[in-house]
Amino acid sequence: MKLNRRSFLAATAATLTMPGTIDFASAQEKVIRFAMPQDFTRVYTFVTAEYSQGQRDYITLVNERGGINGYRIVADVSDHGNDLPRAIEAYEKAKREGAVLIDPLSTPVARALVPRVLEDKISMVTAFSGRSDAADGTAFPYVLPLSPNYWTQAGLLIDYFRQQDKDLKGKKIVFVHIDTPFGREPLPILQTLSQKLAAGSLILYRDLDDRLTRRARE
Amino acid sequence: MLYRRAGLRHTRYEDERQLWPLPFDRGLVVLILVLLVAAPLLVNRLYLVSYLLPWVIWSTAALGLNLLMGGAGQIHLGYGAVMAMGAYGSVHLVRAGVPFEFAMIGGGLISACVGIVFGGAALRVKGLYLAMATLAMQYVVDFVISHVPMISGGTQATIQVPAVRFLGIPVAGDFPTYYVALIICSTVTIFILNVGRTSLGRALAAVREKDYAAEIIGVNTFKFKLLAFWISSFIGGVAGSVFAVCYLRAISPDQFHIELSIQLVAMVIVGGLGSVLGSFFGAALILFAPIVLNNLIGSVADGLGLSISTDLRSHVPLMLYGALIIGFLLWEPLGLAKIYNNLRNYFLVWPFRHARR
Repeated sequence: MKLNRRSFLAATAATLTMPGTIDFASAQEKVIRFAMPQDFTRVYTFVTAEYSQGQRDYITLVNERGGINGYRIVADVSDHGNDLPRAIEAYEKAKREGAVLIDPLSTPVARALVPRVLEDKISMVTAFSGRSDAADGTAFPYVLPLSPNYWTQAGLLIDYFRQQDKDLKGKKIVFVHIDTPFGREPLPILQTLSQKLAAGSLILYRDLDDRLTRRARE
Repeated sequence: MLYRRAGLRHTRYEDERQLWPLPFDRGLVVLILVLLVAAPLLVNRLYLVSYLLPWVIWSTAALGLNLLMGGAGQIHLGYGAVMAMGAYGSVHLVRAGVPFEFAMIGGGLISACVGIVFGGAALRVKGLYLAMATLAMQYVVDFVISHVPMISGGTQATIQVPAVRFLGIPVAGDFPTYYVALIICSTVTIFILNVGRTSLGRALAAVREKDYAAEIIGVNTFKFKLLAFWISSFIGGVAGSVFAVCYLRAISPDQFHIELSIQLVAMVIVGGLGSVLGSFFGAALILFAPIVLNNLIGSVADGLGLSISTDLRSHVPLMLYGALIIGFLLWEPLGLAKIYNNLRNYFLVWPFRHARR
């Protein structure tokens, strides 16, 4: 499509004057709506673009194979910039458009949306983010932590060490973390495990500088 | 033209001093108030919940900050922390069984007590140094909230706001939350409007212009600087408690970080320092410009069938947003309220331009 100023302005005006027609057209088809307001611009930029690209590729694949029972999946990807008013606006808009799933990919946004999704019965995916206690499906039936959460991640790490070293008695394990609520989330699990496995003293490093954490990871 | 002054003869000082002496202004205020009260019936739920409600809450907070920054000339970069104290204070009070009306005031008092301590720095330092002192407050409060499990609510650091009632009506659902926020916002607005025409407002203005000059003409700067911090922090605390109960419903420390403080300072500066109307304009621009621009770019891209990458699609609104703020400040450095005021002044004397003040 050749894009010059005239056609751009005409199409812009057309979009602005009849937003209803587009909704109407898509409402005619058999679609399942997923809302994916994610943080493309502020904090989670190191992962969002790739994560979102993967999601959209998979959804395209599913759609091209005929969708789910003839239903096509429509993914509404937008940016919430890790900002609560914007995320809540995106959530309310998705709810109005009949989205069945929301994937904010941000811990603060997921925490703020939990009361709303429980009330509105909209599924929320919290992959690698969100709150760990949402793993209890009886208490949080509409929050779906698809990936290991902060607690299981810590548990798996300790379990791996145990498989490698057989006995963790007296061993020191250093945990370098970012000093935010989600950075401190694994601490109680690590403390419990250190008593349970008698792994001696577990040294816990608090880290106020995110760069240090990254350097430690490398 | 519209703002007709012909035939207005004030025969008493009270008439001259009223908030809106011109009938057109009064009509406009009443119209806007009626529209705001009737909004739940007029606008779609989406606009009520995700535009009007946050606008009313952020405006309340911006009004409180504007009293301090525009009214008394004391810069404050820790207003998000002030709101955090109000939010946490009132939510913990509600959880302890205190009725919401009192918990809100309690949250305000907690904010005011802590705010006045850090405001004490204003007695010694000014300008950028005060900015640093208030920035320190932001970080100290953030640290205390997230490191005291009793306040933050344990490792998950999220506290659910329990169901509360305001004057006997349960604050749940879309309408009651909006009306509670609107009542608080109106009360604060009327208070701030009235501050401007009392001795308190005049003393704050004297402190703003030059504190030692104020001292010379007999204004106790010690008292009025602390009073400005006390009042502003109290309003911030109340706004924080409304923010928690009516909007967030679950509070965690990351909701009140420096970003919120910067956002509020931006609202006050873009809206217009010292202007009540400006707080509302500023809140609207800073809150909604990113959302509207994002939706606009999104729908334009969809409508044209352009396959631009999501990265570009989410960064173009940011660039436009920045350009918008710079553009407005270049157009009128005194803020959005001044733009409205220029318009009003133009119509006030139209068609006799030579009579413009």
